[in-house]
Amino acid sequence: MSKPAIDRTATDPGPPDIDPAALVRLERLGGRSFVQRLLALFLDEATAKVDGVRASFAARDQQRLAYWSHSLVSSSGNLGLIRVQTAVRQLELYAKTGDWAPVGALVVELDEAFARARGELERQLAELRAS
Amino acid sequence: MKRVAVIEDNGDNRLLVRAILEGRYEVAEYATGPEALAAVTHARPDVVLLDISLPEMDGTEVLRHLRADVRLRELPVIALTAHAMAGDRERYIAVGFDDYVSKPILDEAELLDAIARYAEPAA
Repeated sequence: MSKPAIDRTATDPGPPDIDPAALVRLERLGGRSFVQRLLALFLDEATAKVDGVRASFAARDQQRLAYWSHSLVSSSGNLGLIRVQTAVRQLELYAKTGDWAPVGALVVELDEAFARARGELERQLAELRAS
Repeated sequence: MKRVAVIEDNGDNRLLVRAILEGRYEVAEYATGPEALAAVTHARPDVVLLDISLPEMDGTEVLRHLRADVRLRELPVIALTAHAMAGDRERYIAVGFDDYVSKPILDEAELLDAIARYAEPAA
């Protein structure tokens, strides 16, 4: 049996969704209004990028899959989205090698990780807007 | 104040770079290579931060255009990329970049130091 692309067991929940230190660093860098703008921009752009990953996989388009995955590597890293970044780094690598076998599971992982991250970022953004 | 051109398709990365540089440099942002090439001949920057993975024309092609232009060939160009793998720095310098900074930018001092090697920040 081949090893799954990402192996999660009950005793190994994997890395956390978000590194809380990332938003603290960004606030120190540019203040609360900057973090608010960065979160809003990410939420606005990242959904289309994740859609791009999904569509590229469906079309088995290596070049587009590498482009969209790569595009999410730094954006997710800026905000400390650990699981999203882990998934897109692997997706970019597999896209470049043309190995499609693990890609389906990684796209599912990305979808799940992004959905969780988006929920948390939307909550943080709402808090910032209310403050 | 010295001028830095940021050529980067991700709006969030441009916003982050601007936040790091603001007050130290004048920042001009461009989302694509052709847009930047059209602009920098008229508004010459002191340093260029150039993403590699760009739509339409990738960063290495943008660099080739800059190096082919006698008015711009001496511009310091720093590769800004999430292709963070062993040997990347040497590879990008070998194709003509002056320096290399990896994304995500987790240590703003690394970016500021790289730019300061070519253009002094405002006091």
